[in-house]
Formats: sequence, structure tokens, C-alpha cells
Amino acid sequence: MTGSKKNGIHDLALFGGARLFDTPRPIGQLAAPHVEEYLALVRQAFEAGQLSAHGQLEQQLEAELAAYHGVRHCIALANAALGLMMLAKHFAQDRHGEVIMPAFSFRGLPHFVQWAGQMPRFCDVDRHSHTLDLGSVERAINKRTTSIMSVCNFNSPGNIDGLCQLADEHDLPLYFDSVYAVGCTYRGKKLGGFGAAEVYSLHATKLLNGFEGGYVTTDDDGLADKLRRLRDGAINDEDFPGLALNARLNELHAAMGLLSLQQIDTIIAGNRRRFDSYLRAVEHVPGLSLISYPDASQEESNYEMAVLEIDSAFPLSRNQLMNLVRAEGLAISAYYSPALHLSEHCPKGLKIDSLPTTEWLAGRYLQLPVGELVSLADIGFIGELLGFVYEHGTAIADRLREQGVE
Amino acid sequence: MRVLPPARPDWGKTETQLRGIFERRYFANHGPLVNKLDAQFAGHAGRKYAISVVNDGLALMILAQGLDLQGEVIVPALCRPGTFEALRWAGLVPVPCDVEPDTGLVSIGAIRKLITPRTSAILGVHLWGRPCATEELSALNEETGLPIFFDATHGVAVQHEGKSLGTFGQAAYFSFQEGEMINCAEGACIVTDDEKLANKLRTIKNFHPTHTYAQVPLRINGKMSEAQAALALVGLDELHRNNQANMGMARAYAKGLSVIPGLRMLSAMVSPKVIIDIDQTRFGLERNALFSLMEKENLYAHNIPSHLINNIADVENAFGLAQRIVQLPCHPGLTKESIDKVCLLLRAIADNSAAICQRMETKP
Repeated sequence: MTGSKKNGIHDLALFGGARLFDTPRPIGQLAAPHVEEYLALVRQAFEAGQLSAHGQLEQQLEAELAAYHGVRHCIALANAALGLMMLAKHFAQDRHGEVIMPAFSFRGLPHFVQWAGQMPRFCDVDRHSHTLDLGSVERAINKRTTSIMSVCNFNSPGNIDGLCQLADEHDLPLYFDSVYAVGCTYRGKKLGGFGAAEVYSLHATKLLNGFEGGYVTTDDDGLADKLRRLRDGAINDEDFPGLALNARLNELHAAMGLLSLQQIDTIIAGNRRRFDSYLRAVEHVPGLSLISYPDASQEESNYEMAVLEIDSAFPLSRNQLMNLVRAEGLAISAYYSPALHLSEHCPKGLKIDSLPTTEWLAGRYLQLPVGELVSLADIGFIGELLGFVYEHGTAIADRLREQGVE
Repeated sequence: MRVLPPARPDWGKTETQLRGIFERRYFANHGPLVNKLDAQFAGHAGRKYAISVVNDGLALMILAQGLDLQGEVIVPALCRPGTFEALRWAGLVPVPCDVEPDTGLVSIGAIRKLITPRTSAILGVHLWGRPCATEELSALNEETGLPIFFDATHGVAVQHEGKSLGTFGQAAYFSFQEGEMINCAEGACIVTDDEKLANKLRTIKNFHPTHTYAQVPLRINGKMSEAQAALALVGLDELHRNNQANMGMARAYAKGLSVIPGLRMLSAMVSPKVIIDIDQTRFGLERNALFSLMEKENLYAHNIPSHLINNIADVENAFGLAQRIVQLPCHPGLTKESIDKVCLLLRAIADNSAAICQRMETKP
């Protein structure tokens, strides 16, 4: 059952009414291939007698992903986190230094570099692209800097040319967390070959669903060879430097990734339809808008996320709206919030600069339900709900304050 | 004939489990099958808590982090490839320790010599179906206060004095990698009775606010997927049967090898791998010569990554064993006749070793 109509604020789930959605609508893609196709591929792996350690499916996936991204190498991994850890470690070359990263980003980032023996150095982001701000990066570079980990967001890969130039000037390795950039372009060129390497995810909630998984793309033969040798977890070679990490992708996950890649255009088209519906659903609600994608005539995007911006014209705060909407069966969450440098994910004792844009952005956004489990009708209901909340904003805000929700 | 995994999940049962995942559309992130596996495996291992993770390398990294270790960890030099590396990823210094020459298991005497103020823990390694000095290490823990934890990667099916290998030490981790008695395409599981530690481990392995059970400084993505958990559940269901079949093969090897001079079976009957030790003087040939004689893929060598060890002389027994041991084929479908043939071939090589050596020298 969906779409329970709200006649008054007492019908809101948070105030005791029926929920809009009985089963929570997720914020991940969760696209799945046909089960029979999946079983046929896994059966192949069973018959080949190899369920991991670089089986045929993993090799095929690597070849197809390299072709898709237009790069020389794809190195499949157990997940994206391990790829970023391996790159941070590789570029640090046994030094204990700092890795530059955006503070408005995924909470795992500061952890990845600490596993690699580095400290995070949080930088501010651009107000529009939400990616690393060049001035902030330049001010953060110092003799302890070992690398720059830039993040490509769903709405923009950032100023890649500017970052590359800055990294070159300071002779620093630059690589990208491109988890949200599968299929996206920068200046008309598909992401995958920028910087020293890019890291992608095959997690079920991402564009390509491989259950869990990740991969690194690069045009650097030496780096690719090194990562391939490191990911087996152990190296029996006295002359080979580097710390191995068990990061193999298994065949069950590779099979899923392969089938997912085959239907990537369909997945993106579905995302586009849902995003367009969201645009229509919120366009008449004052104070609400969606973070936009680049002009489709200039750049390709994957429309993987729908992120709602709440400004002062809306009667509720971001957190009030989040609590209210969550109760209705929308598994929404605050987007990149809290800011990393102010969160529990910031290492204790780290000297923190004020990062005004990041701090401002971190209070403004909500990630809306997306993916295969959200229908266009659902989005219509969500739009009606948001419109209803706006209309009854003052009464709802009063009631929320009574309940202690600010 | 090749060295193949000792067990593979039944396809029919696997198919049913995988269909269930697609029906639920729940693929990753603390799903119902992972929860079920954690509950069932805790019962199997005789511990209160089991935490499934993506692979055995990350199991060790997560466990070391959860135990708040710093500085040095003493590790038997004869251990699973990747053990030293995983400890280093966890910011620790693995200190290799020598083993007993007859079993390959850690030498308590050698451990005692290595304990310094920098030592933060001792990692015991149960090898090839044999328990690793559980009583002695427990006594050492009481004496020194150093935490003891165990690599039980090979030991899913092994019991010691009626108890699972998972019951010893503060915590232990098992492997479900291809090559073990439960094969879930990588995969591993950490077990413990310590609730605080379990909460830390569950937190360390993910970044989700809703799966944060303790304050921990460092986290990682170490989650096992629903697909992996599906296979592990099938493997656990079939463990007894596969183990019985495997032991039958091991016994056939034990019988066949017992009459060959210079060959000794190091692995116990319950080991997922059949490991033999070659005494060159009595067998007549050294391991690598045997390799070049038989197709290499029929046998697997075990080497110690010597670049990770500063002084080979300190781990003489481990290094010696690593140069001498060989893994023989043992997998589902292997017949007793095939095992007899391998044994007969080894017997023929031993009987004719002098002539073989001479021939190999003249015709390398």
C-alpha cells in the first residue's frame, strides 16, 4: 500500500498517522539483472571450479570495464575502500604524511588514509560543484603532503584540469574517488583515465551492482601491475616493494557486475526518468530544489542521485524535514552531513581549520529515495507530501518543536 | 590430477539460496543471510559472537584493530601467506617466531625469548588440523597478561578435546576461502565471547551510523555480501559430510605414505590440506627435485616469504620446514585408486632416488 493521503497534520506518520510507504523506499540503486542470467553465469564459475582468485568472470569484467571507461587497465577489487587505501599507501612511499581530501564527502575517506599510515587534511569545497576548492587545496599543500584524493560527486567531477595542474606544479600524485561518476564525462571525455588512477564501486547501492566490489582504472602500466600483485594479500618476491592486501573480487560478485554493466544504459535511463519526475514534483514547492546535473548537451551524467536542497524559504529546517519524511517510510538521509572535520570520523587531536562552504553545505541537503524500487508514482506521492508539508509548515514546525525536533 | 579445493558448495542448495536473495532484493549491508550465518557459526564455533567479514586478510586487520594492539605481535613464522602483511596494514610489527621442528606449530620456548616491553599480543596459528599450543599459550596469557588470539583459518572442521578451535584465546578467525572446508568465494569469520570486542568488530567493519555499536577510531569496509553468506551457509550445512569424505582420503594417504622412507604426513586427518614433509636424506630427493619430476601442478609448495624476515637463523625450523613441505591433491571426487597411484609413484621415486638423481644431474 502506498500513497496514504494527508488531510491534516495529524495524518503525518510522525504525529501518529499512517505511513506513506509500508516498505521503506531506499536511497540506493539496487538494480538487479534477471536471476536466471545470474545463475547461469555463477554456474559457469562452479563448473570451471573457481569461485575466486582471478577467475574467468573477473577477467572478463576487468576487460569490459576498461573498455567502457576507455582506459588501458581495470583492476577489480573486493570493494572501493581497499582501492583508495592501496593508492594512498602506494603514493606515500613509506612516509607518514597527509592526504588532501574534501571535508564535504563520504565518511570513510579519513579512515582509508589512516589505514595507509596517513592523516587526512580536510579542504573546503566549491559552493556549486561541491568538489575540492583549488584555493583551499593550494593553502593546504605542505611538505608532509603525500597525495591528493579528490572526489567526483554525482553532480560534478570537479575542476579536474585545475587540480591536475596544481598537482603537477607541486609534484604530487592525484587520484579520484569516482564512485559516483560511472558513465559521467568531464569536458566530453568519459571519467576513468584522469589523474594517476580512479576508484569505482560495485556496491549494490551504486550504479553498477556487484553485491560488493570495486575497481581501479588507470592508464599507468606500472601502477596497474603493482596493484594486481598487491591485491592477492601476499607477495612471494623479495624484490617487490609494497604492502600486499587481500582485496580480490570473487566470481559471484564479478558475475553480478558483468550483468549490471550490460544494462547500464537502461539503468541510467531509469534514473533520468525518476530525476525528471522529482524535478516536476518539487518545482512548485517554495524553498525546495534539486541539485542539478550538468547540461545534458555538454556532459553525460548517470542521474544516480536525487538530492534535495532546503533553503530558508521552506518553513522547516533540514533536520526537521528529515525526521518528518523518514517516518513516512522514506529511507532518506542527510547528504554528506555532518562535515567530516566536525564529525566522529575526524581523527582525535587533528588541528582543524574552519571550512565555511563545507559547513554551510552540510546543513542543506537530503538524499531522496532513488533506484529500481522507487516508482514514478512514488515520486508523485513524495512531491505531494512535500507540498503538504510546505502548506502546513508553521503548524508542523510548532508541533515538531514541542516534540524537541529542531 | 591437481591440487583442488577440498570442498565446494552443492549447486542445488546454492541456487535456492541465491534465488532468495534476488526475491528479497537484499544484496549487501548486514543482510538476513549474514545475520543467519553469524548466529549459526557462533553456535558451530562454540562462542557467543561471530562476525562475518569479506576475507581472511581483513579479518585479521579488523581483529587487530578491535583488540587495540600497538607495537609488536609475535607470530609463528610458518603461517598463512598474508598474515604479516595484514598485521602491518593494522599498523603493527609482526615478529616472526620459530616453530617446533616436528609439528610446525609455534614453539613456546621461542616465544618467551621474543617477549619485550613492545610486545602487545601473541597470534597463535593452528596449522593443518592441529591445535597450536592452546594450554601453553593460555598459561602464558595468565603469566604475562598478553592477549592471545588465534588464526584458525584452516580449522573450520577441527575440534580439540571436544571443543572447536574457535574456543581458544580471546578471539579467533576462520577462513572460508577456496581451499578451506567451507568455501564462500573468499569470506571469513571472527569469533569471541567478549561482548565489548564483538561490538567493536561489528563497528570497525562498516561505516554506517545505524551499525555503530562502539566508539572506535578506525573503520573499514569489511562487510561480507549476501551472496558470500549464502555459500557459507550451504558450506556449513554440508561441513560434516565433506569433512568425513576428506578424512577418508587423508586416511588413504596416511596408509599409503607410511611405507615410504623419508615421507611424513604433517597434517592431521581432519585437515583440509594434505601436507607432507620430505626428509631429503632418507627419501633421496629434495622437494624441488620432486617438483620437477612430477607435474608441478600436482603438488603445491609452501614457502616462507623470506623478504619479511630479518634473520632466517632465528626461525630455522620454520624455514627448514617451508623448504621441505608439499601439499598433495585431496578434493571431492578423488578416488582411493588415484591416491594409491600417487603413493605408489612416490614409493617408486624413493626406491629409485639414486638413479633419478644421477639422471637429473646429467640431464637437467
